[in-house]
Amino acid sequence: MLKIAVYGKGGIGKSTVTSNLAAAFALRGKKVIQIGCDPKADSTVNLLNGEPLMPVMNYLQEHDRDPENIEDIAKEGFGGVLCIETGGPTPGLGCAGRGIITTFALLESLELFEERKPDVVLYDVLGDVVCGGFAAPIREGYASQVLIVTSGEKMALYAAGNIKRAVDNFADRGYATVRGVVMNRRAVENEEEKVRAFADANNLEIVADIPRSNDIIRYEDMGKTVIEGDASLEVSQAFLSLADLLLAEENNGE
Amino acid sequence: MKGFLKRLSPFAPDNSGVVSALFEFGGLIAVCDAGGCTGNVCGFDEPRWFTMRSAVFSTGMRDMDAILGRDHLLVDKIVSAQETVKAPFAVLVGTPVPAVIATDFKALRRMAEKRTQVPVLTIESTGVNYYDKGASKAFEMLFDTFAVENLPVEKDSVGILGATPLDFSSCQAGKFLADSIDKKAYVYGMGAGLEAVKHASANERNIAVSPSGVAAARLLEKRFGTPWKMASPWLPEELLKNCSSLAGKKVLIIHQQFAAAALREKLLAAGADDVACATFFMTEKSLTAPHDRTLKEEEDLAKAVEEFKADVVIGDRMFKKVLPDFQGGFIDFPHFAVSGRLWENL
Repeated sequence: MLKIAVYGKGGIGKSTVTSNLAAAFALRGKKVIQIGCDPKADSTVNLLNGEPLMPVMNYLQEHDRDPENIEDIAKEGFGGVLCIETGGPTPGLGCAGRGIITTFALLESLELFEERKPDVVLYDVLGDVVCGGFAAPIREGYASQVLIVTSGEKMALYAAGNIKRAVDNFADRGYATVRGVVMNRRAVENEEEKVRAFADANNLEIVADIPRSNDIIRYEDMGKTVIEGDASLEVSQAFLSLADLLLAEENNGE
Repeated sequence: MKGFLKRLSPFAPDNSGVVSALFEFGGLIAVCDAGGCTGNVCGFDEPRWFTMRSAVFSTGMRDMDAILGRDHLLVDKIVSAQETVKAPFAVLVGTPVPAVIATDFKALRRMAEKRTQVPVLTIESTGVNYYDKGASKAFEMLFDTFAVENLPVEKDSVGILGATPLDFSSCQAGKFLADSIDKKAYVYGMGAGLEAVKHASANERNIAVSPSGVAAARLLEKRFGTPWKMASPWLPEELLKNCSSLAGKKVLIIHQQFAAAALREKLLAAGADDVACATFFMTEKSLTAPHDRTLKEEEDLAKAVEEFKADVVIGDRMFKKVLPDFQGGFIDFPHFAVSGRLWENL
């Protein structure tokens, strides 16, 4: 099973990358689960025709008991991708990171992986690794690989560096390792050069180069990924290539 | 307000159950707390603390340890304590603070095992659940870790799983349970120690004597094919004496399910009209009769008594506090996890 956590600075396009990657894996015939780990709970919306689903935290708040079935907190979207959102507390209250852990424990008790037997699980994680809860997706038993999404913008690269350092710090804990950088282009001057310099300095590979594309916004306005909208587009091909690369590595046991 | 107790004192939490289950196995037990949970365990929830040696430590967590996630300090403390104790294994016991900050116990186990070179059991109790859940996890993990060798079956040997003073309200319960069985009995955690756990595959059969023993019994069945049953083979003489004239009565028993079910059998055999069991703790379906209830709130208890139209209630006398209008008979059946009362101190 391929288990990947996607991290990056807030607003850098993590949910776009994750849901397009999920759609790309689905297009390749894979059984995919995407778990949005962000209190905003908007990670999977473009796999669901723009229809949001009830986040786990909202379910728990509303029902004051655990759900009995996965279907209570999950919906199937494009290509059969099973979508789940952790959600979070009312902004300014509670503990969003703890909500992620609670969701994971709940999914474990519902035997999500045993029941669904996915080929790919994607975790879309909010911003930086700000606390233990946001590192939960890379703990033992969850994601084994991390993709860091960044553009050539200074703050995005700064956040990417923080994420890499955080993951490296967890080396003695048996956590996931960083697989590589997804360059999500934002029309920054000398963008490739800057991202490449960052990747080289951190001994990381750029595993995907996502071109700046208005098609992403166009299809997102329709509640779709570009993969669903038009898989032949250059930007869609970039996501499909990344999916193919990760699947090939998985098949080769790398 | 779910679970809010207005007249009863809080029941022993799961972290106390973990310590109680593991108290006699010689491990280094580190409760991951600021000190309060360990204080409760040693001062209130573990009567053997005053008569028996066991290496129970508080990790002495401070606010900045929690805020900064200083797990390495916790591991340093385990290593330092282990240098003195030289225990065959260590246990990290969760409490509300690690639960709230979502401490990664798997990572702690990995780090602590690497440095101490002994098995480290990490039990993610939260302080939110009751003792039986913690004891259940602890017994299961203990057997999962140490009962690994498949040995030839020893004829007429019986493993007793789930015995703690929290369930049986006596520090002598291990002896009483063993005496009540006409076989070679290993009462794990109350008499039988770590070596017996390592030889658990040799048991001809196992008995889960409380809900806390069920998960371990299932594990041993799955791993070695050891048959098991649920039963509570020992009930205190004094209790049975007090219950001797209940023929024709409707009786409600409030206790841990296995003890209540065992008493029910005796009362029905002695002519009681009808007997129902009610419990605030874990239950097994196969021991649950139609009138039985799982209680969530104090009010549920009064409701159960009223709806069952009980003539007599048998339970820890602490429960009388929530039954001010009950006019029937009440027979005391101490439950240490509820009231901290032992049979030997009555």
